[in-house]
Amino acid sequence: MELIVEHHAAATLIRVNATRIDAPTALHFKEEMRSTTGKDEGRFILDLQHVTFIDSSGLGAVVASMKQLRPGQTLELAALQPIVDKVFRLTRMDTIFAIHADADRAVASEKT
Amino acid sequence: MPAKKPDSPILLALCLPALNVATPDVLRACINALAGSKAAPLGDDVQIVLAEAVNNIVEHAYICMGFGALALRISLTGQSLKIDLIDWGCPLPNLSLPAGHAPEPETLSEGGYGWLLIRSLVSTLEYQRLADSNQLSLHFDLC
Repeated sequence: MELIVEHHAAATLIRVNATRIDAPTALHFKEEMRSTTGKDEGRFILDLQHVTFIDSSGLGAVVASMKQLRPGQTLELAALQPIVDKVFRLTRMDTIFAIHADADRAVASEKT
Repeated sequence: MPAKKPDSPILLALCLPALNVATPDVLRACINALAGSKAAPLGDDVQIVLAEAVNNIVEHAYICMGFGALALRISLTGQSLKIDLIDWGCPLPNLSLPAGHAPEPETLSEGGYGWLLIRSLVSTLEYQRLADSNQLSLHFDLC
């Protein structure tokens, strides 16, 4: 599971360079997220553009990534593909996360 | 003139080790089997449901014995797609299917979504404990 981190003025962009966040990879994803969000402050946007599949273990790892943030940090999501979008809607976790259609536009349009 | 061979209603039949690393391959085989059939539009839902059902077997049914196998059959029956899963692990608690109640989103639960996802996407499901095996049948209505 590779996470590519980009620092922008508005937020830290975390691009998931993998096609799945699922039972075999969820733990690794969660640990990578802990390490990545441990280094920076403020707003994080998780770009899921390349993630075509997520299961309940993967969903749990995304939720865990938010719960392990420190005060003052936030986690938002971007570019949910059809299966990922469906899993978030069915579990109503789409009501918990700010979700953007596109990560680059989210970073460009919302200066903090 | 020879009679025309009827189309087989079985799209896929597999027996495989119950390991979660095998799940992506199972889903891929399933999508390939559905391609070109009238069940192809169900591909996303079938992947979500099958991943949860297989992971339940890996993480719960075989937790008592550590390792096992599962058998999978996907078939078209009339107006539905049917997925049969058999494993030889521990029975479901109370020999019944979990209700699949959704955790409230604001509790930020990291688990408990599997049966909710399955129940949200199938039209019917059946569970039987038969001869030391778990037999789960998942039905999807064809569009």
